[in-house]
Amino acid sequence: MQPADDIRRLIHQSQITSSEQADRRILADALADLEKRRVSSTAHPGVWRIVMHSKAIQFAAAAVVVLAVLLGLQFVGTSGVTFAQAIQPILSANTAILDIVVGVEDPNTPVIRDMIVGSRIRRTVDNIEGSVSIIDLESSRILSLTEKTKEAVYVDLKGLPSIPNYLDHLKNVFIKLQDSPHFEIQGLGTKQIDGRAAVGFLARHPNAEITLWADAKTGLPVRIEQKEGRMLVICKNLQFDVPMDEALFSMEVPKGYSEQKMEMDLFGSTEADFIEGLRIRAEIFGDGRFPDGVGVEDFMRSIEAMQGKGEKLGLPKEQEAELGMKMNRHLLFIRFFRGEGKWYYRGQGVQLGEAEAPIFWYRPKDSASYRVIYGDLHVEDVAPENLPEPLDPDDVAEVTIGYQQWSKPDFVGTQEDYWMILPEGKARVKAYVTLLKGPTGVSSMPVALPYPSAPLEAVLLDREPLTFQQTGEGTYNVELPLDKLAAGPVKLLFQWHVSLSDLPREGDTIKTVLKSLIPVTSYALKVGVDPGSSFELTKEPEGLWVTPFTGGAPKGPVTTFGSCGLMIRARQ
Amino acid sequence: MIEDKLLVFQSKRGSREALTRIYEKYKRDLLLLAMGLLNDKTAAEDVVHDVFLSFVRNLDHFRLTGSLKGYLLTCTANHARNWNKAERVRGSAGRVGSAHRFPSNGEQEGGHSPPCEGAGRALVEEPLETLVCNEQLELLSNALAGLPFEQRQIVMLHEHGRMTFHAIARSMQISTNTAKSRYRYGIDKLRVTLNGEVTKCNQQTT
Repeated sequence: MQPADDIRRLIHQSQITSSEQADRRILADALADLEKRRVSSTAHPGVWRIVMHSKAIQFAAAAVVVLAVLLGLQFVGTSGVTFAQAIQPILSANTAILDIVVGVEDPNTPVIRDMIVGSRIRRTVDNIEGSVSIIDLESSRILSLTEKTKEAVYVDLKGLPSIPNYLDHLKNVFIKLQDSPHFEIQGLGTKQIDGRAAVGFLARHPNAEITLWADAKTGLPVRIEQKEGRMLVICKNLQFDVPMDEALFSMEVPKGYSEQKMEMDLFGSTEADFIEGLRIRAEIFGDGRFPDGVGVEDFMRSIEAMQGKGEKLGLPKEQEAELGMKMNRHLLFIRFFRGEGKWYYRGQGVQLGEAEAPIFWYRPKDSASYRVIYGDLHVEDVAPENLPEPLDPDDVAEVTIGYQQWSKPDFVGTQEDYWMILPEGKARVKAYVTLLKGPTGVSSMPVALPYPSAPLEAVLLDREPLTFQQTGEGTYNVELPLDKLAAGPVKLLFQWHVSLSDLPREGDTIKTVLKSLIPVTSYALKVGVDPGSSFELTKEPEGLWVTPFTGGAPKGPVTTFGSCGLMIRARQ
Repeated sequence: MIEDKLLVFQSKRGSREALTRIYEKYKRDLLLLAMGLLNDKTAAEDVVHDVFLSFVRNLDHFRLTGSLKGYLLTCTANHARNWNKAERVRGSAGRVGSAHRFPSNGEQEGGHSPPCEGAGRALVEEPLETLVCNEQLELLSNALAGLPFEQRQIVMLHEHGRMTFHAIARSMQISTNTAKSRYRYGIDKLRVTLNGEVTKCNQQTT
């Protein structure tokens, strides 16, 4: 074989994969430049003018879909209350009817009416006349019906967590809270609600706050106010175990309705999607100005105005659907906000194109700097001290506790392992150990690798290699620079390669022992797959990684956490 | 080809979807080329970033006469060359090597001596690294780093970008014969540098 052929093959086998983070950075800047070009250009008609000359729009359908998505998951992963008498009807209910208000309760805030049977919800919104959505949480599907135009839209939701039953979730919320040691209850006394005396309770938990009012005579709950993050959700006019016609919850398209289908990925929303939504809200619905707010409650309050504006504009069906999808993704960014701490919006009254006006900023996860979006929709990375305004007093960054020396003989930390499955049937393991404590004056740290056949290759602290010596089968002593540890960086990086054939199997499942290098208080395993490998992940990754295991050691540091599957399978 | 023309036309009209599609379609090719030329993940990402921005900024005057992929690859090679020149200037001013560069054989992160005997390669990426390269690319990048930039550029454009020597020569403003001879020198040096590693690597993956 010619050497050029070998090298050619090497080039063709070379692969590189960009993360969502890299794509987002490159695309956001390119798209922002495209936007600048488009706004400044007079040679081509902008979206605004295209929209103005288009035909009729029914924004309602898109809005109902948005609401279904935004509120369908309202109680997922949150907390609840504990006063047995008041919550008993909820715990034992098979069906329910309730009204939901998002944000402050006033005449301008729309009321959502939910009828719930099992995993299905029939939802109507009082400021969107003639539209109804049937949400089936079991199949992650929404059927949105618009009576006026006889249109039916199926929306298949991708990326939904498993939600067996909506009402059961509410029950779980209460049960979980009752079991939580951090749960507190405070009596609020009695007040009149809808003409009847009600007894109030305030349930507090570090992650949530719920106020429940129950009828003073019957004990039935009449109103629940739940604060989740920055969103206040009020449930009122509650009725339980009301007989309801099954036909109201049918997922079949009624006769005479036209049928459309669309898909929505709930966890695919990016900063670029959010920015695109800002553009649409300013350019199409705001006469060139950004909205007063970008929270879910702000959107709820503006639906009617947007609907009216949409009807005046007129859009072809395809553009209407595209617009609806873009608005969904815009809102999902806020609804499932994944940044650190709070987001800040200051776009009220700002004109689209004002390049000097910061309108929104937030800190992406694991980032030291903030992303600041300006009125012309360009984005800059800004250090916290250079933000347009000081952070809110309660928006405190997580404090990193440095390395401490103590009288005990053990080194203690936390560990995160990143396994990259490589093409040649090996995994490259990078174990990040955050050192928390160690014995006073001792700089030689013993570590034990999970597989003696996979030797330690390197140890780094703050990107600098550390010396280590093998002391036995799979055991090593690492020399720690104590002065450096005391000064700040405490994250050690260990690397080794392990052959997949050395790992235990259970049927087709490749497993690994969950064993930390030193005693740890928490341990996590993340797995990614090289595109050239013959394996694929069995679950949708977050960025590059899936997390087969994450766990803590509440009773004290340990080195073993059992075993688990790697969440990979032969590529199909 | 027709799709690319349409995408360029739509991008000129301000279509975000079209520009996104162009990026999605060619990002891997461009990143791989940049990585091969620079052996530095951060720099590779920066170069592709700059290429795309430059592409958008020049859209008004851009006319697609040949292959869009070829055009973007040439832009990437040119940006990489500029970056390389700037890096050499920075390097001569005492800058320590980039943190994201793959260490060559026996070389450790930041030029430090090996941590201990038999420690093998150092590791450099953060847990949530923005670019992930497979081991073949690591091997290739390390080997290419030993060639003069002009030879690297021609080897990668010809082998990875499938560009003809004529097209490469035109883009680099050199003669076709010069392009061919630089390619030959490059391949010969690669063969010496890799010294059996390629065959070993190929055997592992076949």
